[in-house]
Amino acid sequence: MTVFTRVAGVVIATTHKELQIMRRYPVAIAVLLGWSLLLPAAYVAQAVGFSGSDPAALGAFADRAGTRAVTAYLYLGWAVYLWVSLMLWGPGLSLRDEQLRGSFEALFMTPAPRASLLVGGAPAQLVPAMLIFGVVAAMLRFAFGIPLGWLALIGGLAVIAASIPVLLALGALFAVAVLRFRDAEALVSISRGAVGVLCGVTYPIAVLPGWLRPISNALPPTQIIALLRTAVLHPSSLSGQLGRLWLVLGMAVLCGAVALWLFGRALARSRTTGRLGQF
Amino acid sequence: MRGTSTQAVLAVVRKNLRTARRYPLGTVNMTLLTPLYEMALPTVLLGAAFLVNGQASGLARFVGSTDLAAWLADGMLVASLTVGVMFAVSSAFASDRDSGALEHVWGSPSRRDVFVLGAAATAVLYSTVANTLLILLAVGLLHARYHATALLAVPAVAVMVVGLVGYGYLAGSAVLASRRTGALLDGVGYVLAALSGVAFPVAVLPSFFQVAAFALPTTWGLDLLRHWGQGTVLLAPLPAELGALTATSLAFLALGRWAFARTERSLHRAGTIYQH
Repeated sequence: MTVFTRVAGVVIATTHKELQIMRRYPVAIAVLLGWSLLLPAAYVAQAVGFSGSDPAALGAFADRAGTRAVTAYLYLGWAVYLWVSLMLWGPGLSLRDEQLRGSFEALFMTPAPRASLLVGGAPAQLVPAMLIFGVVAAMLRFAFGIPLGWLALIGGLAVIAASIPVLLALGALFAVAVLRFRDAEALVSISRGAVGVLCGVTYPIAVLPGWLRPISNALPPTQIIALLRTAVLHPSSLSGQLGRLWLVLGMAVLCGAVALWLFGRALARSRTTGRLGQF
Repeated sequence: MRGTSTQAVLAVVRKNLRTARRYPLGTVNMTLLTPLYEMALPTVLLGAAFLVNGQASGLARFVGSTDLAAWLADGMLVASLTVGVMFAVSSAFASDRDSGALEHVWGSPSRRDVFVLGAAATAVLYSTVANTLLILLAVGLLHARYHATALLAVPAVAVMVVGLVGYGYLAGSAVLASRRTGALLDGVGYVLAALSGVAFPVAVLPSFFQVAAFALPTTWGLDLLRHWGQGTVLLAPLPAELGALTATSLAFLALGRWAFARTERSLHRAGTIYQH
């Protein structure tokens, strides 16, 4: 049996387990879908209040954001924020749960390849993520009357697919950080704040101070949000975003390699200190 | 007897402050940083995208002020008070139940209200300190400006806090009655704060939601705070607004106390205080 088939076997088994748990708590999925509609709605109300239907204010937004479709702009930003949340923090928090339950050490005693534990929980998150994107697309199309053609839908799906590797890699990095520092709640809090404030979820990057923009642009969620907005709002110009797409894929390779290296170090450290199961 | 209750409330506040001192990073994160990066900064940045020559000309059409930073800083104060009071009361009961201390606390000779009032007072204290810092940041970094008449709003905010204690009673009652309500109460707190117009003018809401907003003391308290602090246009004539603030605050306090007393009685009957 090759390493690849062993990893694939573990990932399939973990996905099966995670989906079973999700089915056991359908209210959690309903709450998530509710947030995907409610949170952006509050920001849409803010945008209406801040624009005051003033053509000058709306024009200022269009100049900075590259679109006048404020509602779609905000809903797409929040959909990516929730998608990133699921992929980034899901696997790390799942490892933390194993630590708290006392089953983490037992997991390490199994013959499963260790690295597969880092990403095993992530594929199951595609299910709620696709539900979020579906609900948001339906909301934009039927509640706000925003036309979403086939090209926009296919482009959007392509961006989601292309962003999976980098989010898996970031999720693995986060999981390593959880193993190393154990304080998962604080790490979630810090990374959630960074994504919410720096990645242009609710605003165009152009309003950030000049020194912050390069930092924002270096973060994969910023690129994913920009790609998805282009794919859905300006589908014909998606082909001009190939550079950005390659950047996201490159970030996936880099983050994945760093995550694996750090994971090896974290395991070596836990062998010396014997703190694997501590929380 | 009243003196004993006050002492008991102060004892609860002291206990909460002692616990907070033990976890300074968690406390700063919860009271200052989380509201900052989850609400204040994304909202300020969205507002900045609509600025024309540094002025919130669109916002001025609704509220009569172009000072986005001051307008939002006031909103953050009321959001923090609303979510803070509800979270403090509900989490106090939830954590006591999870750690098995709720039965002992319930068995003490203090009135049960003491625990609601103590948690609410702690939340008001934290929110006031954290939001004073936020307002100073808004003044220093974003050039927010306040009129001297802002001090007139202090009594109005005090009356609003009476209504917020009513929110706290309702949150405590919900936790005791339903047990697993953490996520739901987070959502309710967020919706109540949003409906009060903390981050957008109430006028942009559909009429059904406006009716709900006008039933909340936080809507009137925030409107008066902004009127005296920045000279914004009031939602209603001043005497009517003062009357609405007082009536809704007292109504929420009465509703909250009634719900809490009812839950307390039902827990006594069912004997389920320790269950979680």
